[in-house]
Amino acid sequence: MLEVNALVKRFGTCTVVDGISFSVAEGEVVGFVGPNGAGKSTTMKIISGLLNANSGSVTIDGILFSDSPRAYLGRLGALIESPAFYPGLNARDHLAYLARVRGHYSDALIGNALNRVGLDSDSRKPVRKFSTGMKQRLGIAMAILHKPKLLVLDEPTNGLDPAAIVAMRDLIRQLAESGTAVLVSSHLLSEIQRVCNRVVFVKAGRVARDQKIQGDNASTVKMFVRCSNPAAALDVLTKEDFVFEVQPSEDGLMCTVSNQSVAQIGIVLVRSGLDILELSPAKGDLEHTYVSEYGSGMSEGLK
Amino acid sequence: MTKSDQSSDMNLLNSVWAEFLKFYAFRIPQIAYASIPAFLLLFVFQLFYVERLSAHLGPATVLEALPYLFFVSWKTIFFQLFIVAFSSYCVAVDSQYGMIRIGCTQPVSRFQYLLGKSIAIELHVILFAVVYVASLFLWVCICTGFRGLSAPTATAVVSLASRTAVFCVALSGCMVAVSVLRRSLLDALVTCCVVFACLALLTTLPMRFHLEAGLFLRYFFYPIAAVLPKDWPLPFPMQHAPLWQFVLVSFTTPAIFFIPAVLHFQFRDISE
Repeated sequence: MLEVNALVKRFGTCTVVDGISFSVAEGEVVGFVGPNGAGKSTTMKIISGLLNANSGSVTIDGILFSDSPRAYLGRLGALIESPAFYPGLNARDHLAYLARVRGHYSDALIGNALNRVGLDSDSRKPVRKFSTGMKQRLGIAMAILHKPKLLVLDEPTNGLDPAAIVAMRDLIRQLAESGTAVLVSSHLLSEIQRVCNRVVFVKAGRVARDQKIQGDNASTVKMFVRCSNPAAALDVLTKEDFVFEVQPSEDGLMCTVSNQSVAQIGIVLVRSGLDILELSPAKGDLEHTYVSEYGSGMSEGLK
Repeated sequence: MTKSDQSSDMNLLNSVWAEFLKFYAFRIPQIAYASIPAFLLLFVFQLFYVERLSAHLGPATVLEALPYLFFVSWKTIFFQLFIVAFSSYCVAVDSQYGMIRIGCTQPVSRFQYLLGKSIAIELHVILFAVVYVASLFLWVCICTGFRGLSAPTATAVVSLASRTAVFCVALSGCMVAVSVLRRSLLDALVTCCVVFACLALLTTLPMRFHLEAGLFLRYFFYPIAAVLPKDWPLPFPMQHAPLWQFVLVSFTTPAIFFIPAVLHFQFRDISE
């Protein structure tokens, strides 16, 4: 769906994007991760046709922006940086404007978009009275109004409360299930891990790593086990069929099991006479990768 | 060709309609429609009750009184400044609030986006000009007791409205083009006012340059000629210029501003 090939963007003498290449397939949710200034937003702006690249190419459905801007942008929905609005207009006015530009105006379309982001009851309120989260939700409604084939979301969870973050996650999954390719950038790595199929790590304008990840929707889960006798626990778990993989980690064991078999870990260890000190989901896979890729940043500076 | 590609053929019309209704939703047009007659009432009061125009003219007809009211309200340039402010606001508001990012990710080319917005603004400006002349006509009718209403009067008023609309559209076109080059409301407003002043200063160029026929603001009082009697004692600059010349200058002046604006907008990075 989206093909980004050797993209380069310079501002004066500063090269912000330095040969980024990646792709997003139909129905795939790809996280776009990196520290501030890595070139994420610039890349997303180039994909959205807002910035002109110095070299390289971007295609959506095989269409180059320069060949047919209308066909290219017709397939794209984007929420870039903070959502933008006319303060005096209400949510419905904004959506009506976009629907009319595309020639698809209908009350049902607008009502459906408002309903999907939970803004139907506030649709007549001027946007200047909206909270940050409500503005973010309206920005997303504007991006998904026309059911785009590619959705580009830059920090979509900014300002959202926990319930809205969960709703946003569900919305992204629904869109992906319906075939929409989603490129999402966020500093909330836990959210990226939960919602994305793949993560592209960007560093100094280049792709540093492109890795597949497990989300909540995966059939297996990685668990961390700490017990009184790790060597004995390793023996016990290796013999179990429901354990797909088990490896010793720094102070315990990391094991991959099916979603339904998490409780079985505790049961077999207790039956084997081992004391369980900790049994928890192996959180922070992405954080570990992130820190190994970029360092711990400010915290290192504070030491 | 996909369904979305086919529908994009209608994009300019869609864009114009969307922008037109969006500006309407800003509520500036509605406020203007109510304010223009009220604003003109001040001049009516001054002319007919303070200056006692009726006493000077005797039992004047609508067509005899109309040029006076048009002249005093037009020369204060309040209406023209409103056109300048409206045009620059409608363009620069997108950059000011970042909505240009949304506008430029819709399936329209940058040129269409700009053209659609410009046409929508000009349609509003035409309506403002019509309301302006209609209000003048209405007040004069009331103050003269509807005296002398006839077909030639109606023709003259329609001609006045058309010329006023052409002048306002040209002025607005210049300001739209200038505002495209700016990225905030304040920048756009200030630049438009400076350009308006520069256009006015151009009219002071010495005659030896032979440019007077091509200077847009030399036609500032051209609309009033539609309602002036032939023996009017005070000549206005370019009052007797042919209509085609006025229309040509009103078309070419904004076009001159639009060329750099379109080229700049077509290739610039949208970083607001």
